[in-house]
Amino acid sequence: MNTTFNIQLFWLLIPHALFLLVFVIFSLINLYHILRWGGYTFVGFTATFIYLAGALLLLFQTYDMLKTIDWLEVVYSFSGYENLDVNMGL
Amino acid sequence: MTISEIIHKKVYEEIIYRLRKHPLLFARTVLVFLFSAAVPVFFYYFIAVHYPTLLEGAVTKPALILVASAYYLGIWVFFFAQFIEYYLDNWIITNDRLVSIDQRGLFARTISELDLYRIQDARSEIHGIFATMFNYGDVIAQTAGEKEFFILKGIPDPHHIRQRLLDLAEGDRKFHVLSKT
Repeated sequence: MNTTFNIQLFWLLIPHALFLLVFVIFSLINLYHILRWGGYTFVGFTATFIYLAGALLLLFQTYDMLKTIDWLEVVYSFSGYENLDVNMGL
Repeated sequence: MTISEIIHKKVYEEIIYRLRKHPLLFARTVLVFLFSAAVPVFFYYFIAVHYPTLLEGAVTKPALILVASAYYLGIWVFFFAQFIEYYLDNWIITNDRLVSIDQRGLFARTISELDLYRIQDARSEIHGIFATMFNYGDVIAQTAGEKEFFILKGIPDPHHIRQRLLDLAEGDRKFHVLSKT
């Protein structure tokens, strides 16, 4: 009985998703600091706006470049055997 | 939070100056960021010339896009953190106190206060070509308090700020003398 294990392209998205999680956490920390301690100034507001716009632009551009990829495509496949017959030669 | 809330402004207190480092000191960070943003572009052209099949491979193309995306998001959030560190460094001069807010990274912040009447002496320094051209430098206030020196680093027009600081300190000393009599 053969078992087949496939590595598909979407596995590449897993480390990227972990990175995005870290990115979101640090972004929230940054936004908390400037909102709490920045003193509601025009410069602070503009910088925050530019940061969020830039982040969204980068994320959208990434999505746009990747949307045609077939993520279910099998990159690597390997098979193994179950129910090995072990002939001891007795 | 407004600046009054951050420094717990007293009823009789009036904010005279809110100072930050000169914007030119942040320009260095901007240049580093722009150089970092250009690095993947050079890599792209290098790969396009020497290894063009990598840009069209079924695995390599999405992998390169994801790596570039992570790189740009990483430098973007780092650049914003550097801006916050620059922007949240403040010196607030009121008619009663000198408050220093020193943001170190994202997770460290030091707030120091100095009553103006404790200022014994102040000097201002401008060093370097750019500092001279764009008129920024340091003001060092010598105090009678526990902390001997209070330094305002890289602020615009330091000579004017030094003079105003000494004038305000003199005024605060007179206020304290009068209030005791």
